[in-house]
Amino acid sequence: MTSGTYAGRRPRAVTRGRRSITITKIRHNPLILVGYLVLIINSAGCLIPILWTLSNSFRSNTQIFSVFSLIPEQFNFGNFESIVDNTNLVQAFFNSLVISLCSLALLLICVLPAAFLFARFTFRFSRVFYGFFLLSIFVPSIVLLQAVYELFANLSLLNVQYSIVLAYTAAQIPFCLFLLTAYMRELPVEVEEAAIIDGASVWNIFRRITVPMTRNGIVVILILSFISIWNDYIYALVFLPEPQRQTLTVALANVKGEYTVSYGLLSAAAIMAIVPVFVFYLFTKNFLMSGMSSGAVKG
Amino acid sequence: MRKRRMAMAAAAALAVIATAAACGASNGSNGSGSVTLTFATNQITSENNGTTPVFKQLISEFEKQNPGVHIQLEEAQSTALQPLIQLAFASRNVPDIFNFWRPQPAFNMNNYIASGELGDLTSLAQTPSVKNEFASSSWATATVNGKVWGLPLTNYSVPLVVNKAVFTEAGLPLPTTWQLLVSDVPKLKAKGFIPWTVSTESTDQSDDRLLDYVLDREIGNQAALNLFEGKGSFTSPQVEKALSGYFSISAGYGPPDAAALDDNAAIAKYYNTGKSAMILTNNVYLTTVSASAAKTSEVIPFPVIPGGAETTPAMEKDLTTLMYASTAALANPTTGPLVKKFLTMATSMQTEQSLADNDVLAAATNVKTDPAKAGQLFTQIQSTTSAEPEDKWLGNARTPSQQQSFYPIMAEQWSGSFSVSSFANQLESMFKQ
Amino acid sequence: MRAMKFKPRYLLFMLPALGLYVLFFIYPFIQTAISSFTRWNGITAPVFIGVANYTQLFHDSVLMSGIVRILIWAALAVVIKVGLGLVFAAILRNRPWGYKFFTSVFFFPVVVSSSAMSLVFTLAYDNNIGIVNHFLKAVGLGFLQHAWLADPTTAFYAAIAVPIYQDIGFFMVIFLAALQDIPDEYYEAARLDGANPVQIFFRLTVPLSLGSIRVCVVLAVTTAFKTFDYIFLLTAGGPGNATQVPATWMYLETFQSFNYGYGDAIAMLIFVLSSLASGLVLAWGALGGRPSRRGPELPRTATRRVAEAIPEGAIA
Repeated sequence: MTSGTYAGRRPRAVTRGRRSITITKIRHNPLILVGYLVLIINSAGCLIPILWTLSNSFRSNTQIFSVFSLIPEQFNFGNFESIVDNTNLVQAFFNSLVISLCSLALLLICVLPAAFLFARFTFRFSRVFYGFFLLSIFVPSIVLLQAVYELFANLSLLNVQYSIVLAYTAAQIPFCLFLLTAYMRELPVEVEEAAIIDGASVWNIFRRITVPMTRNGIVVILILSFISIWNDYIYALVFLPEPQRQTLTVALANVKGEYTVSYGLLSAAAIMAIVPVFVFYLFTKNFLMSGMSSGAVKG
Repeated sequence: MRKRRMAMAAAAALAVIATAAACGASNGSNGSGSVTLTFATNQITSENNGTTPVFKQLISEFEKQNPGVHIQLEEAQSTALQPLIQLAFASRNVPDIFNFWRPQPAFNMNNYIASGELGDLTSLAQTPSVKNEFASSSWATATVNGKVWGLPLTNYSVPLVVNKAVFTEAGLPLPTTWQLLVSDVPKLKAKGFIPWTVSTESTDQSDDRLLDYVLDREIGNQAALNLFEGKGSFTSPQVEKALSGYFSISAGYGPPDAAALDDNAAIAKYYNTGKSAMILTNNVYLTTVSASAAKTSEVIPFPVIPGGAETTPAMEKDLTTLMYASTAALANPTTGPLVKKFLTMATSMQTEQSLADNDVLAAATNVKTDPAKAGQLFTQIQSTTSAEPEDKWLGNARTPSQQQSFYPIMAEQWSGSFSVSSFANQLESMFKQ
Repeated sequence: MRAMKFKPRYLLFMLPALGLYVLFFIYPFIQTAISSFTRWNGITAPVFIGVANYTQLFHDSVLMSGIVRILIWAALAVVIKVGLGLVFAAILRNRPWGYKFFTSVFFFPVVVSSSAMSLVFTLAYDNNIGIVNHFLKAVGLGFLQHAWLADPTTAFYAAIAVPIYQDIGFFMVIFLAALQDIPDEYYEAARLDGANPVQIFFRLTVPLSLGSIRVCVVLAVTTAFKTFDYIFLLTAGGPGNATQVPATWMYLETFQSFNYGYGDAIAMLIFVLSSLASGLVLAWGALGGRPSRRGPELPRTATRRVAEAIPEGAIA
């Protein structure tokens, strides 16, 4: 039974071509049609709510109330202008972006060396330390909200720009360490052994060999952590109440609270939050998919 | 492999830069010789009505008059200010200035006072210009244990607003008496209208207004307050009579999605579109009533219940927003005078007058309502509020913990989940001492 | 294989992680644990009251129903996220026409932020203009229309439908990777044996991807236990208390009722429940979970014989 090791992987090109659908094939196995039906239904479910919101963002409130339509009557950007002019959504988007990127950078700095240590070495208490890191995987971060806030207050971190990055990174460490260590343990050691024979230092082995080989594992933890940090609401709500420092999640919730029945404006706000991510996704999805499908999560 | 290394180097560099920037850009400081005052508030929203323009104007005025002083805003939306201030006090990091509700246990203010972090404003309150602006009842509310903790800013009241057009369309008389109210409500629903524009979203507060009025009318305000302090009995015959009367005009007579809408949304969705007939809520939400709906709206006194303790209509109203300061900010020689200046400006006659011009019930006594500037609906609210005697909000007698259990029960009651006796028993077990 | 000799200075490798973790995670966790044995309003000094908070947990009917709700949520999450994820991965396993399109579309909701998705669905669930009700009317199921987030009977399911729906793509991609490791020959052999797709799914696909299934079940369960944002943004625990889960109830107890000690006890409870659930799933894996015994027995010996007889790559 092949596992995720490089040695056992077959070259893909041989057996993985795109299979085309022909009538004969369908006649052989009518379930193909059922399969496609399922896929199409789910695609509709994934796309239509957002498309509907997109359509509404171009319509006025009276239009939305009177007629249901997936296609807007006109392409009026008035709602978007209102959102940009009257709310802090744009600023909040950049705040979220900076905070997330800083957290991810800090996370890599913390977790990559630590995973390397636990994957490649055994030392006294190594299991204790590893278990120590892992025992908090099941602690939901909301549990610590009050205590972390007080800690920040005591350390005078509350008014330091982007200090929330520290809390976010710390919360991501356990699970990312777990994933990365498991991934690194699966990597073949021949290249590293060769480097040792050549006299490379441990740090250089880490930097030039192990880390580049962990590329796919890194992609997985970056995606998971990014989603978690980008989505966070309650920490951002409590730590960043100032309008110019709010994150996108909080700003969106505020917009919802203030414009509760201005459906056109709300739709526009939602679209403004989704479009940048969508664009990013279009450019990087292949990279994301290949990283995730390399088998970093095998169990 | 090269690309990955470069990307990682870039990420590392970004992290370093970010942390350096973080350490540098703290507190929004802009060089030496400048002072920053933190001001936590829920009075500034992104809509341009109500208190928002007044406060924006106030802040820019203040910064202009005091060059080098910067007001750092910490905004929260309506009741979200409560957890913000709570955290601030819990971590001993109170904002220099903030507005908040009355200094009562219902808002956990007793603990804030006990912590010593809440600034004592007694001396500021003795200044004649400040003192004479507000009625003695306002000062009484602002005073706890002989000390004044906040300067009054705005009042609130709960007027009964009816849409005459809806009643005309339904062919029903306005509910000017209790009998008419009891008969109108079911008939409104039968004709396809929604009698009450109520919100039962758990964080909102309009779902208890009707209950408050009925209890006040039937057994009197003080007795009703005693009930919620645990000194009465919800299962006594008089209270049960009041509750049956309340149930006959409430359960099932709100919007179907009342639990998903807050008051502003409910008004915008149902009242402004002519689908609902009456609003009974905090006047602060009535700025959402559209101009066309306001034209056909009227404020009428909540009817007296025959045989009840209140024989003339009283209105639920009180001081609602006060300006507070932190002990630390007041004690600091640099910020102390500035904070006092800001507080005085915020509660000055000028500010109070412009609040009134923006359809907000100012706390100052000699504020003139200009019918040209204030809306027609607001003028009615203002005159009814000053004319009728005061009933205190029954929530004053509830602790925050009880509030948290009480409102979900009210939400369920509005959707028709209870009978009168099970409702009475629930309240009895919750409040009885 | 340990090719490198350990030197004590290598401990520095874990220093940044350890420092950050201990300061911003462990220390607050201990604070929370200690505080759960006190009565504290956050302002004045805490009062030690022993296990009183914990005994009160069991008398708290809202909390108890909240626990039932997250169990339901976990069950639904596992069945839908893991189940549907695996089904979609199985359908897309041999990369039929349109594979790239479908995987991209299915994965897209995963990257949308929770607050944006909550906003989209608050609008979609609206009882007047919402697309859900319109769709039901259009397909003739108009009688099923509800005020989804405001009706106590539907609010919880409508609320958890959003995060569950959003995550299916994520699990699908994980399973796509896992399924790649199952050689095509096994499927060919099973088909030769006359197994229908359902049998193939349950007797071949599922058992051979158990490792990934296990990890995904743990992920789904722990997510269900700790998710706060969606409930808070969609219903705030309402209508009434119909959608309260322990996480939102903890928030309310701490920040609205100012019962910090009790809130911390709820937090500890969430932690214990999550650990228990995950521990159970992992233990089931460690003890060697066997595939389900549903459906007619596929003659595995025949399949294996055929599979072994065919050299790798011989069947294109």
